[in-house]
Amino acid sequence: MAAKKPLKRDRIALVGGKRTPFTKSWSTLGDVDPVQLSTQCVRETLFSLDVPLDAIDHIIWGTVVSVPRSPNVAREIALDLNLYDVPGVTVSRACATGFDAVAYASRLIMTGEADVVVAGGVDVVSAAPVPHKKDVIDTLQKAQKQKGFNLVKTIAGVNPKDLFPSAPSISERYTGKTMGEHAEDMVKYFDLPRAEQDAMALDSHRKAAAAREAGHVDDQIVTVLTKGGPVSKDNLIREEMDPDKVASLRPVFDRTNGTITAATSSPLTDGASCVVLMRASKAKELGFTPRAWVESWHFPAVDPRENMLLGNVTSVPFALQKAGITLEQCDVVEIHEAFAAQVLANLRCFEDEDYCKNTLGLDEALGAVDPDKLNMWGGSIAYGHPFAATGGRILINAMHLLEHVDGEYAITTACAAGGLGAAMVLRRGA
Amino acid sequence: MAKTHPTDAPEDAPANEAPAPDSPAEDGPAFRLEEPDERGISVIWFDRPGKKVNTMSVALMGEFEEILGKVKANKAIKAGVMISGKDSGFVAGADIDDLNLVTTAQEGAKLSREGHRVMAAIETLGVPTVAAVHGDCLGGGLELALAATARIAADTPKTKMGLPEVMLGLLPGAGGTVRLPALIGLDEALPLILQGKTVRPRKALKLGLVDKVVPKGRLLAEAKDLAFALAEGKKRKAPKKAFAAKAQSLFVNTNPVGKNFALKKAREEVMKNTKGLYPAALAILDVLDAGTYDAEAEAFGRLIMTRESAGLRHLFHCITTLKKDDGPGTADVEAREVKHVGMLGAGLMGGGIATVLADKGYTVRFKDIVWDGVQAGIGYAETVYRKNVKRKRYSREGAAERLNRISGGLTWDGIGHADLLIEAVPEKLGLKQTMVKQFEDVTKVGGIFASNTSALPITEIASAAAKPENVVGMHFFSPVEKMPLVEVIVTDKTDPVVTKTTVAVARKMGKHVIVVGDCAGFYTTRVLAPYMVEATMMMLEGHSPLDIDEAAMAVGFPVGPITLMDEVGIDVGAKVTETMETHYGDRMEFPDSSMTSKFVEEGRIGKKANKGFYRYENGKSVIEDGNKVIDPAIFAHMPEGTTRKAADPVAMGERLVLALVNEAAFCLHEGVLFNPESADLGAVFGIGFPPMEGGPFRYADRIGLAQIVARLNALESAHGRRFAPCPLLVEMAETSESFYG
Repeated sequence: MAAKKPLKRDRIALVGGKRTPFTKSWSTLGDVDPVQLSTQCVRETLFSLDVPLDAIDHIIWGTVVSVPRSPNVAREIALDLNLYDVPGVTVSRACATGFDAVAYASRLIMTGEADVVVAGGVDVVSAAPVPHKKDVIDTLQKAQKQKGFNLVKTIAGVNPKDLFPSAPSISERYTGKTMGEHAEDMVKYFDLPRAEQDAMALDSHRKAAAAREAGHVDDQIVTVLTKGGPVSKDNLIREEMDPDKVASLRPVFDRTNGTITAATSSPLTDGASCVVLMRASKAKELGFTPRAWVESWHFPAVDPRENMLLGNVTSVPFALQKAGITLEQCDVVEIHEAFAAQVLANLRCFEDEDYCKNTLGLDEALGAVDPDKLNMWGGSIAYGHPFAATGGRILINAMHLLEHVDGEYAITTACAAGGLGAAMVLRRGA
Repeated sequence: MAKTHPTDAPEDAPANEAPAPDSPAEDGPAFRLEEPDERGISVIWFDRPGKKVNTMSVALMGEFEEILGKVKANKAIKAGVMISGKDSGFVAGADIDDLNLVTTAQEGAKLSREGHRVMAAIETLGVPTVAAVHGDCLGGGLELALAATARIAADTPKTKMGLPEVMLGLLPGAGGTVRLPALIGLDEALPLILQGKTVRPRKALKLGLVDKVVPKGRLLAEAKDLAFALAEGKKRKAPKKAFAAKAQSLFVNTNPVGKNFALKKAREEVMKNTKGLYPAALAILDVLDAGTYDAEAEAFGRLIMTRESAGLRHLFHCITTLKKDDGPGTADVEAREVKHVGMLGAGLMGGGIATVLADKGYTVRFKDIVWDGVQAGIGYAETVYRKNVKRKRYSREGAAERLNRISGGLTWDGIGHADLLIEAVPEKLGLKQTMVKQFEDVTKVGGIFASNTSALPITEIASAAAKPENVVGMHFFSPVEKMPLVEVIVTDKTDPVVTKTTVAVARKMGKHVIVVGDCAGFYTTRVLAPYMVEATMMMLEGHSPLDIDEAAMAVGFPVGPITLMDEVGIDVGAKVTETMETHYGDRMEFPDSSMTSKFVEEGRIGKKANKGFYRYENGKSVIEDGNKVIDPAIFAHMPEGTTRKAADPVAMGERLVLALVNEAAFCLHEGVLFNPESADLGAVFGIGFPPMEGGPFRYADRIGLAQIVARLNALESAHGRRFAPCPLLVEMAETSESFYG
């Protein structure tokens, strides 16, 4: 698990980024096609930054939920923007997809394949395709080649109850458990009190609401045009939250012994986010001042069967090592809140000398995170979590925060299904 | 590096079998006969030297007949294929220049009979022939193809077949009126001959107009195969028709009652649509009824000599002349590339402009002051594109592709890299000046600022600019997707590169372009104003709006001036009149504006408010006994009240037209017009001047300038100094000059 040597390369400038509003699934963005949402997000980002469209070399886009008719969303975006000679690649790394897109884009710049890359991700859970059962699909396939009586016979062979689409599977293919159940496992393993989780969720909303009030959030958002009118507001952040009500909610994943509730989980969300990366010299040539530098990243994996969601602690120290900095040097710490429980579990491991030494092979414990630096403007519990768009949101947020707190480094991280993780270090731009 | 590409209709694949024609001299042969191949198929290539398109001309008839003679004489030739060596298409029609040389109906009829003779020569070759067509196959071109035994068409979006002669006030004179109904039936032939409709390959196949549709690269090979099959005695197949179509065609095409019925219906339709103002349409019906080559030739000769055909042919001349005219000083400059266009204001105008821009491959960014505006602008495009999908002009994907090129917002975001900005904000000089300044602040590419004002002088708008050389006028007409004209206005300071670029964009939008100099109202609005003023004066004098409209339509205007005021908006009209009065008030006289201001005050602003000179309900005219209904409330603000005078439609029509003609002369006199063609094209396509008159200057030439000046003098003494003839007209009348020599 030890980190490789720090990378030697051209600096990668993050010249800016924007996201669409993050909205509760099946609400204001529920009818927007994911490609449309992505195209609008990219277009508005480029327009607001005033990046000439013909400077774009590549688009790297992420999705987690598959998009009907558009397996390679990135290319569809390029086409919809009339960027016929801009290649597009679509990536997927579960909840860490947004980070993956940015890393992929950075690698293109590092290897000299591109100077200007658009990276981001989209997920519109509301638009998730609902598949027919395999039997039905097989029958339809067979029926295509038949005529007359045989056709009738084949179609008659379908069991009508199979015509109901299968419920979208939310459990992990390998472990058979849902993410929530995995989080509950971690609660039990680390013995994470419900009260701490509830407090973190309340905090997330309180901080997000305050940031929005102060105007920090709207700065990051582009308006999306929908059939129902323009959408320019997040709709999951709660201005007021009753702690007693949060405490009284029933656990959802383990109804008898569980602690995780709807309030302490990130909700199903629709949204997209987008950043623009440039080779440092290219940014200068085009007259862009880098808002931040992409310093390093790390994408680890652990055995998902127990403690699946330790992707933060398994990635952060190595990204820091590659950037040549320590956790204390970071003025901004952004951890994706899949569940309050997962954040708490990872923070425990940060401080756990035994874990850090023996499991991660570090010389010492990573150390405690200063609570004042952690998710200062709230996290995914408050904003929501449109899977592939979350990485972008966190990076854009970190970029703004570095300027806001006048800091130098930001560490950003997400855990993901399958035991995956991601961490990325940003350094304040000029 | 990435590039955005506006998509054009896909280029035709090069005909890989077509040998490069031996680069012939300007006066080399236009026809070339290939030696028969091993199957006995001989190809006749039509490729006029030194021309981009093939047209049939009198001078070529002899050459063609000679080639046909060779075919007939060569016993080794079993069948022939006629094909064009031009990329542009088969044959675009007859040479208009030939027609202009005709001085009598007899000469015209003779021309037609010569055509008949050549076509008959094809029919009587003794061997079957196949016309292999691609691109334009129009007029004489289609008649040529009709004389062949069979036809085969290349499946490209550019392949168009039709008989557009009626658009020139003529009829197909080389046998088209006989051969086309014989081939596809009278019912299907009517829209082609009578309305000049063109058909694309798929439709042509359905009609039985062509025998086969093939990829362009296979055109010659397939034509040869078909020719060979015909030579072997294979019969042509009749097209498959649906039962209802079959029954209808049986009724119309095989019995005299059906034929008479169809022609009678068509005649009623023509009378309704043209009020009998276009003799060609009626002559076509007569000729179709007679069904003989003689009747065709005789009518062709007669039509050539009509003023309507002369006017329409003149219009055609204006179109071709102005296609090559990019405006003053543009001869030695290159147009800039335009890919992305900013659009200020997403109202009806902005929406329409963006719709056409995106259709032609430009990306468009709206800026409006409210989201509702942005959404309405995008919604406008969506509606138009959806209609076009229904009409099968493109697929649903094609509509989505176009719609994706349009976006919008409330800020200047997305306009920094616009090569061109078109403003369609409300007609306030200060607002437009602010827009110029703000655009200059955001543009990163030295973008062009084009104002879509309909009357404000561009120079005044440009006076606010740091770089007035980048400011130009781009006057569109509503509804933009339908109106065929764009008036480009240049100031003394406009950079010729800017002019040329703007003209290129307007042309790519599929519009005819006139480039004019700057003044209040430029050309179109300026000449329309006296015409509208005159209509208002007539109303104040006590004429009925219905009589005024009728007088204008009797002259050939598609709608009358009062209806036009309701359509455009009485408030908009008032605003324009105000601008015109400010600038021309010392020469022109304007009606007392108290009537109009009272109308605007009470919300009587036209059709859009369901309240105008006429009555409207839900945005539609109220019709009683086939007529529009005057809203009696309007008379309250007229000095004569409800008492209305008896009308002299001829005098009224002339008065309206002369007001316009005189102002057009002023425009030429003052140098606002750079050539007379712009005046004629602009008036017909921009403001509905009667097309069969060919435009105001062509009209003046027809009447004679001395007579025009005399009439203006008479009108001046009857109605006032606004009719004082333009000095240019007086001078030209004195020296017996005319606008078109």
